Amino acid sequence: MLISDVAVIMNLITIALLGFFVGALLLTIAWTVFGKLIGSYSIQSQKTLILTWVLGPWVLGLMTMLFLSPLFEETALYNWMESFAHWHHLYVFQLASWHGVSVVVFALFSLGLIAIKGTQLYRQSNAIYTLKHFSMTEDHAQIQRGVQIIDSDIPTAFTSGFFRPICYVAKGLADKLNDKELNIVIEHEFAHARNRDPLTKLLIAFLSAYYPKKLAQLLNTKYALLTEHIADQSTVLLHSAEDVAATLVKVVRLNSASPKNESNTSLSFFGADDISLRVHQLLTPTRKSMPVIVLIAFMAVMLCCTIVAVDVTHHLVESVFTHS
Amino acid sequence: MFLGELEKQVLQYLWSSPGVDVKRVHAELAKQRDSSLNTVQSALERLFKKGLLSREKQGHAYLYRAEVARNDLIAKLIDSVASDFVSKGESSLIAAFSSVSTEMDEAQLDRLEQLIEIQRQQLKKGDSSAD
Ligand SMILES: [Zn+2]
Ligand SMILES: [Zn+2]
Repeated sequence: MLISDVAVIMNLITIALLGFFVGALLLTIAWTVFGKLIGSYSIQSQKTLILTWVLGPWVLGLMTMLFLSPLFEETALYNWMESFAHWHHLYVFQLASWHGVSVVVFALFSLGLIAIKGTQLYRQSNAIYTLKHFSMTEDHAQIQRGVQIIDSDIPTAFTSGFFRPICYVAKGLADKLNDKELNIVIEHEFAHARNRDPLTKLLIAFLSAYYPKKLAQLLNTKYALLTEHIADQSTVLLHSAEDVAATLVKVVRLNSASPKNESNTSLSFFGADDISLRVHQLLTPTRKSMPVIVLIAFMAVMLCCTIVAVDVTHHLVESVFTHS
Repeated sequence: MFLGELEKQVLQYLWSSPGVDVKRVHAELAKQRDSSLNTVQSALERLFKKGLLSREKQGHAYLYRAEVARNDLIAKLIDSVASDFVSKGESSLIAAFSSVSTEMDEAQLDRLEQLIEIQRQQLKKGDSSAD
């Protein structure tokens, strides 16, 4: 048993964790109610919404911790809070309790996650390094534009790299497109690089990994699709939406025409209708925007629910298993 | 798939001249780097174990050739770069311009093209009536 500042810190971590999981649960439920409505909003609003869901549990956990912390102990706010939620053993922490276990489990899960993603990262960076060794051409005209040409007949283009993203276009794609189409592809990839999409996708994958797997995957796919929409949008500044959409369809056709070896399959990380979603978004963009105030109000309600639920859970569990 | 610097050079050389023994490889690589016959031998061994090389015995020595074509290896590497961080087939860290949608059939693509064409026509009409 710990009775000291350490106990306070451990308790605060526990509160944050409990808040985190309660928040994740509430947001999961909220998603099943509101998730379907998201598609009708503008791309920017959708991005804000997805980020709200991904960051939500973390924010809710930290805010819950803040409100139940001794920071405001002498204030009116704390007294008012105490009437409906409090942590009854802020200065005592028992390691061999469900609190201790939850901290350890969370730490182990996080470490495992870091190990898994770290290995994937290492593999990926090695692959790109090897790819550079074997297949980069000295196409100076393109290199000056900031594009690396890959000497391969696979019709593909992608952006890779976390801190200094680089755009790659394979010859197999570049040779089959006219100048305008190639420009559209390159501008689209540049947009990914400017927005640091590889890095943001990695962060989203990390932060959402604590959700139920199905929701985590959904959030990641949605986010990935949004980065595509946003990259498409930035090409529309210089080209017509119809040209961009037509290029998209052409690239998909080239892809399906290229001989399919098994290694090609994982490039199909979009769902079947994602290309059609992108074409529709280009032709008739959704413009409804979500007022920020609505989101703030939503999160405030979520926070109140989380704080109360943390209190209720804590008391409920400890009416069965008393530990202090 | 992890490939060391020497392994890459060995593979590169074997693509251009297949069916050579370790001495030839060593002699060739000596132009670019200085590594002992043993190091080259073990690089060949590693590549063989990874399934990237095949070999046949001729006299006392093995003759090596690349088992994987350059294009296939590049395809594999692109695939690894595109390998995703969430779970198979969900989302990828690279941001590809578009992807192979296996479920996307010709008819669906035709429909999308029609849609684009219709919008083009409408825009043209809109422009001419605005004049
Ligand atoms: Zn307790
Ligand atoms: Zn893209």
